Formats: sequence, structure tokens, C-alpha cells
Amino acid sequence: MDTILAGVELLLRWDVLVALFIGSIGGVIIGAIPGVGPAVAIAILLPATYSLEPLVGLVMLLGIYGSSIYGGSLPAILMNTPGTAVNALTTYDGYPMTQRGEAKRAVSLAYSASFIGGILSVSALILLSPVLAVVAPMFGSREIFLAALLGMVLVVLSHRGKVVIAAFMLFFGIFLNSVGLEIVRYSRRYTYDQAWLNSGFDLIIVVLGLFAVSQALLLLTEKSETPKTPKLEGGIFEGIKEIFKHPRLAGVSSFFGIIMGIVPGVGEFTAQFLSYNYAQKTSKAPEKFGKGSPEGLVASEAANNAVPAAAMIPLLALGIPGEALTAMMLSVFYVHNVIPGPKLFQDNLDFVYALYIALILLNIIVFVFLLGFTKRIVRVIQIPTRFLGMSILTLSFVGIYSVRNSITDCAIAAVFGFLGLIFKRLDIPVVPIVLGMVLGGIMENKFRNALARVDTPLDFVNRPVAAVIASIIVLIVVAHFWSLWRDRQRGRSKS
Amino acid sequence: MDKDTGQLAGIRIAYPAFLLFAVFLAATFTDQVKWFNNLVLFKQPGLWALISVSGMVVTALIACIQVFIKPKTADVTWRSDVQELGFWVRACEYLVWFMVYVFAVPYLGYLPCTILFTTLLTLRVGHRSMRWCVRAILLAVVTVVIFRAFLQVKIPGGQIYEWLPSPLSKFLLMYL
Repeated sequence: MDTILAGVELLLRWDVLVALFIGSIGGVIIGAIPGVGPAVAIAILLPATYSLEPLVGLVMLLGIYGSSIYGGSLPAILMNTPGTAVNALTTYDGYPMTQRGEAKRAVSLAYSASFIGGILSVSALILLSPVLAVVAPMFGSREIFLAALLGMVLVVLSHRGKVVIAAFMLFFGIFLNSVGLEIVRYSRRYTYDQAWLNSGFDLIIVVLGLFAVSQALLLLTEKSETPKTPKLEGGIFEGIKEIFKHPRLAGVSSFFGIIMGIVPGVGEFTAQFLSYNYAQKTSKAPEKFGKGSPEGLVASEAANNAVPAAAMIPLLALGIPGEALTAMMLSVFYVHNVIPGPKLFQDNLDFVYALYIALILLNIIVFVFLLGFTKRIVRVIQIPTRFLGMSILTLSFVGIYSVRNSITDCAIAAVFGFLGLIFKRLDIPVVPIVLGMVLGGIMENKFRNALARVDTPLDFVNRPVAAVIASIIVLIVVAHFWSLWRDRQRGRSKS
Repeated sequence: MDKDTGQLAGIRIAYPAFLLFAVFLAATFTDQVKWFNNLVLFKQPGLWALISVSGMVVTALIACIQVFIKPKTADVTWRSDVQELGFWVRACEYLVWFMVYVFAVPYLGYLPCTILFTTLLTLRVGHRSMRWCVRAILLAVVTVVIFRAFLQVKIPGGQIYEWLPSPLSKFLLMYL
């Protein structure tokens, strides 16, 4: 209890609260604009927080991270266009409700479901903290190496139908991380005698290129559109009342979100589909799913909003990100001299609790803000896409240049922006590159540390936690190939 | 050209390019990564470069084989390849805009450059009314004030500011 109070004390400062407020509201607005998204916003704003105190900077970016999915539901419901990629399933039932003239009901129901998902997820985080404080120290170099490997395997296999190219992108990410001067023997790797390559590729520059510059290029090059939104009709409080009719569904969907958030590499998409399927199977009116079912909306929004807080569990406890956004949050932590991992729980538990409480406050701020200001946010959505592209490009410059005050970095980001544009056009997954860069670095470091304590490869798995993680990796790979083989057999028997 | 055709056309160009890039990295491995004779494989500093480059070669090869062996999902011709390539090249124009902006900032100053960049680019993308120009200028001013003046993000002051009278020059160098 004392630790929780210490966390509250850390948070109750005007600058921290202002940062949380700006981050939360900013996140909602950014999430509501299709084509921007939290990754772009965090990457642009990260360098701007260098001069701020660690907790202030972290809380601001945490606000954006945690609140963008709320905002993303708005264009998904009103325009059939998800604000962030993870709001895609919300369009299935949200937009048909808008077409029926129930836009306000749908919007408030989505907010309420998201609120429940968010709060339950943070509660899980708080309840699990004492357990994490005990379990996290059991993770030594070998265990963290294997957990990072598990994250890599999951992120590749989760791109079903694109596993090979996702693996290529992951290896590309590991390669990017290995470029430059290595710190053990001080030898150069793939620098081609270019001094600017000695320090390697900065993750933030690569992310800004792949996410922000590429998005700007795409918006500038494609046909210009000015999104049109319908009138908000219906009662805003209808949805809030309605959520109490589906307490079990909201709870179970949040549970799916929490579990999928904890597992690295899986994330919102799987959580949504699992909860949506569950909702449809247990519904009394399954035929209404996809045609404006309130239950479908509750299932997808509660599940996707439960993920961000849950994804902080492996990030904070082990320092292992599960997807691109948490990978970026990891750099946010590093930049502000907060090193996630077992030691954080042992030495700075009050700081961890301050972050948890910030997440709770964030959900309350966003929920209240959305109920009062939805109509105004709708106006922001209507920015023409090419003007938006120009704005992103302008803001990208600040983000890129301020990392190391280098024009070379701007050129590197431009190249990655061009690559990112091609990847987006061809629907090639970009997230594995980011995870390859982050997890590749963690794995190299932990592998080197572990080598001091192992004689044979089998020593890597001679501790219980390591053995469990290694078994999970083997099981997942076997299950993947088994499902491929089964699909092939089914295809043959059909033909 | 529909989306599927464009995608497949692009993939037919991109995957072989990935393979070529990976093979190039593999071919230059011995030049670019120092191998220590007295160290075992697992302790080599080049181990992760080796793992990543080998992985890239193998996966790019499999991806290429899959693309060229699998039955075509869309009607792709050399014309669609060129069209997709044309889209990529068109996007390069905006990269040039961006890099000109980047190079101009240390000379012309952050605020003037940003105003020029946003206004000219807004005109270029087709928003030619006064209303949009004003919005572009506002965006530039707000961006500069928030990031440079308020958050003190390190962006160089323009050389052009030094020609102005001292108090104004100092103010501009510090905040805009």
C-alpha cells in the first residue's frame, strides 16, 4: 500500500498531470484521424520530450499510446474507415448502426466498452504486479533471450499467409541493428568505410521513416480525399446504459484482450477476432453480427482497448516489446533513463505504480472528454488527405532532425520512408523490422551474457523458466507446421 | 490498374530486389565483418550479422520462388509493372521537397523555411485557395512555436538571422 501511495505522490504534480492530459487528449485526436496513428505521433513527439523530466515525458507518450484506440473507433463507426488499424473490426457493426441513424448510440457504446476494457486491463496489471515482482527476477539472460526469441517467432507466425516475407523483414531488422561499431571487440560491421554508419541505424529514425514519412508520401501521392462524416444522431447516454446489458461479454472480451496483450507478437487483432467469435457464438441474435450488432461492437472495442495496458506487462517486467508500439515505448523508456526489466520492479516499484495510476486516469480523462467533445473531434477527421500528408512531413522533420541534429539522419529517414511506402503499397508487414531491430539487440546482448554461464547449447534450457519458454517455442512452431499441413490436406481433398 | 494487379506487379519487382540486396550483403560479408580466428562461432562479434544476412538470403529466395511459381492471382503484364514503378517514382518528388527543406533550414531559418515549405507544398498538392494557404502558414507557425520556442527542440537557427539587428537576431536564433 505504501508503494502505491508513493506512486500517487509521484504522479500528483502539475507538470505530470498536464502532460497526461495533453497526451490523452492528443492521443484521441491522433487516433481519430485516419492515416496518422499513434506510431507516427509517438515517433514525432519522442525527441520533443528529451528536455522533459522522465516521468513527464513518459506519461505524455503513454497517454498517446493508451488513448489512440478510443479515438480510432470514431471514424470506424461514422465513416467505415478505422482511425487506427486495430479498429478495423469496429467498422463491421459500428458503421451499419450509423447507417440506421444510431451513430451516437454506437459511438457511446464503443467508448463504454473501450473504457471497461481499459480499466479491467490496468486492474489486471496492478493485481499482477506483486506476482511479476516475484517472477521477473527468475528471468536471467538465458530466459530473456528465449522470451525475445518467442516474441520473434510469434510476430512472424502471426502474419499468416505472409510468414516468409515477415521473416525476411525480421532478419532485415536484425541486420539493421547489427550495422556499425560493435562494443565487445570494437570491430565494424557493414559500414563500407562510411563514418556515418559507425553508429549504426537509430531505431527512432528508422521508425519515423517507416511509419511517418512513408505515410506522408502515401497520402501525398494517392488521390486526395476529404472524408465526409454523417450527422451524429441519437442519445449519447444510450450506449452507456446499454453496456450494463452486456457485462459478461465486456468482461470476457477484455479478458481476451489482456491475455493477447501479454503474449508478445499477438496483440489486438487476435484479441478482437477471438472475442468477436465468442460474442457471435454466445449471442441470442448471431445473424445480426456484421449488420449493426451492439454485441459485436462491444466485443471488438473492449478487446482491443484491453491490449495496450496488458502489453506493458512483458515490457515493464522483462523489457520485451510485443509489437511495434511497445517497441517504441521501450525506446521511450530508454531515452528517459528508465530501463524496463526485472530490476525496475525491485528498485522502482513506486515508479511502476505511478505509470499504472496514470493509465487509469488516462481512461477516465479520455472517456469524459469523448462524451463531451465528440462533435468537435469529428471536424478534425475531415482534413483532406493531401494536406494531412503535408502536415505529417512537416512534423516528421522535427522528430528526425532533433534526434541527433543530423542531416544524414533526415536522408536515412527519407530512404526508409520510400521503402515504407513500397511496403505499404504491397501490403508487406513492417512491424517485424521494428521488432527485429529491438529484439535483435536484446538477444545479442543477452546471448553474450549467457555464454559466460553455459558450456553446451543444452545448458541454455537447464533452468525451469528457460525450459518452459523453449518448450512453448517448439510447440508453437510445430503447431504452425501442423496447421499448414492440415490446410494442404483439406485443399487436396476438396479438389 | 486495380489494387491486386498493382500489388502483384510491385511484388514481382520488390522480391527479386530483396534477394539481390541480400545476396550483395552475403557477398560482402567477409569484407565487412571481421572474423576472429581465435574465437568460436558463438563468440564471434559478427555472429548476428551472419544470422541476419543468411536469414535474409534464404527467406528472400523462398519468397521469390513462391511469387514466380504460384498461379497468378491477377492479370499482370509488363505494363502494370511499369505503372506500379511509376507510382513509386512519383512519390520521390515529395522526398526531394523534403530534402530541400532539410538542407534549407540551417541557412534560411526554421520559421521561414517551414512557412515556405507548407505553403508551397499545399499549393503543389492542389489546395490553391487563400483559405488553405492561411491554414498552411498557421500550421507552420504553430509547429515552430511549439517545438522550437516552447519545447526547445534543437534545430539550428538560420544563418540569415545573423544579418538582422542584434536583439532581433538573438531572439530569432533562440526561439524561431
